[in-house]
Amino acid sequence: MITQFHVKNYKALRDVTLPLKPIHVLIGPNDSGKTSILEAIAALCRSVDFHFDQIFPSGGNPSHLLWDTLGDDVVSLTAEITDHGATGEYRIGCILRPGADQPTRDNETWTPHGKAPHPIPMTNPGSTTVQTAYCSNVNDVGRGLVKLLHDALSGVAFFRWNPRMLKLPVVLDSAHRLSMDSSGFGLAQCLDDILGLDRDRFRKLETKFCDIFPEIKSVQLVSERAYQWPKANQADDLPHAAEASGKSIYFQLQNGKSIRAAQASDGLLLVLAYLTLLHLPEPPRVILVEEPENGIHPKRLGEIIKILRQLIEGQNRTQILMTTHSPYLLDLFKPEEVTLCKKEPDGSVSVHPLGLLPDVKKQLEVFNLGEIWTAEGDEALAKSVVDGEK
Amino acid sequence: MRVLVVVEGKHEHEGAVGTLIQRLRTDLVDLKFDRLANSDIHIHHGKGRGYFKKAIRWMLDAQEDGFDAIILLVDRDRVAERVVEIAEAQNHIAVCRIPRALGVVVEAFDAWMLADEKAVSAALGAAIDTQPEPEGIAHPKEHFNALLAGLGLEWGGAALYTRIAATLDISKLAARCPQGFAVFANRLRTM
Repeated sequence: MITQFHVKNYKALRDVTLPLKPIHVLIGPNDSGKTSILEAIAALCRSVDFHFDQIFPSGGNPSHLLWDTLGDDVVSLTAEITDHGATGEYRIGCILRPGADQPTRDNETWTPHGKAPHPIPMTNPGSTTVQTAYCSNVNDVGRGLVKLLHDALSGVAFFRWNPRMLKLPVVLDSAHRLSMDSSGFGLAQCLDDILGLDRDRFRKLETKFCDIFPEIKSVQLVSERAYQWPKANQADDLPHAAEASGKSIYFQLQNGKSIRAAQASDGLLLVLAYLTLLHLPEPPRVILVEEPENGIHPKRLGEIIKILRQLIEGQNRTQILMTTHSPYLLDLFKPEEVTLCKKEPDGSVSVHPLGLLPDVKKQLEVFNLGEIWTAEGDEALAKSVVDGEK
Repeated sequence: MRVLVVVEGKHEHEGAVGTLIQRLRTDLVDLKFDRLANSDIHIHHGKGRGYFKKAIRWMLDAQEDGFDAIILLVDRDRVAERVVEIAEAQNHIAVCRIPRALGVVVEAFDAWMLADEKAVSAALGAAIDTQPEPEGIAHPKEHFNALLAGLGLEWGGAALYTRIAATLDISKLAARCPQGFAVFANRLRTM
């Protein structure tokens, strides 16, 4: 688990450090750096599995991702990690040179708690990852470190749910087994994979889903003409219709009727997507979600957060970080699980953990956290945190 | 002492409430009025004790805005819980310590304007009988309007209530409105 994240020189994140809990939410106005923080965390996690040219959002000149395009061209991402009882600091430096096609590696280090930095040797920095580097240079230390980083960071999933994509039938593709793309496309395949792998697991998922939506009797996966998976650099585009058959989600209702996913509500599909994550045989270690409240009735948000907390408690390894604009969602969190983001006059982002604010804790005797947020406002809360720190 | 006064109907009640406050506390001259339903004072959920939360939120806001004290009057509107919630807020100092006098009018502010028939008669220029116990009138505004209609008069607006408040017998008002006015007056005098 990442207990603290530090990012330097990435977009508006000039120099930001934030403590993180197993489930953590970022709040703040639009354009206050919340999404950039998630992107930076995703980049650090992806560095374990992918080459450096694939860890940042694609498109455009990579130097545009720098805070200061005229100065330092290195983005530094550092995570304090606690896993399997081991603690340490994983840092990567990425060079985003103006004019270069893609980011390149500056360095990668692992610093065990209380010890000196331990550079991660890359025999061929252009083509290796943490995993491949150690797999090719296996010793006990190397194996231990790969396992630690893998267990803490590997397989990050970054969701910006689009209910329309969740509802689409999917051409089954073994390259995307047990996964969804960032929009949620692939849910039907993911469910089909779970069903094929472990029928009992699927039944548990289905039972939980039907408990939440008692009007539904069962979830069915039906073969029909479907959409292909989008290519990596077209993730936001609609997939192309294919001639091949795929799987589509249907819901059988208690009244005997059956409806396609496309006819179901957005909230219903989103709950199904979260339950699917919960029932994956190996859920992602880090799940990033932008505005999970979208399409969900405020009363239903409690169910979503309950599902996500179950995921954390059940797996004891998964960490979930999200952004929100919903006070109703914020009601479901403790102050120490919340960080307020704010844009400073110079354009850089500052972060303010609400857990440091004694007035918030006092007000919780009367108000929900979301009420405090909306009543006080972002500016006043940020100021209170700063005053409290002094 | 700068005091925020929060009432249900700012324009309708400002003059009368201000007059009553100053008759009870002559030292309170710097009063700023606001409307209870001001949407800037936002309690978004309605979860839990609504009027307790609303009162605490108003107190916090008054404190942040630099007021020295707050006076808040709400109508009971036949919801008994409001009396309990406002009493709790009156005594709650863990979140906010601003001096306060919170009150609940039974059932609506117009009831207090019916307590002293002599003051009403003087303000209207027409004699009226002693009215039923004000706190037993379910819909005081409608009752007041019916009274005026019976006299062939139209409601005189905020100015009429201000005139009544200026001359009514405070002791009589407290005696005839023991649940609402007497409790509020006591809190205001000791604020």
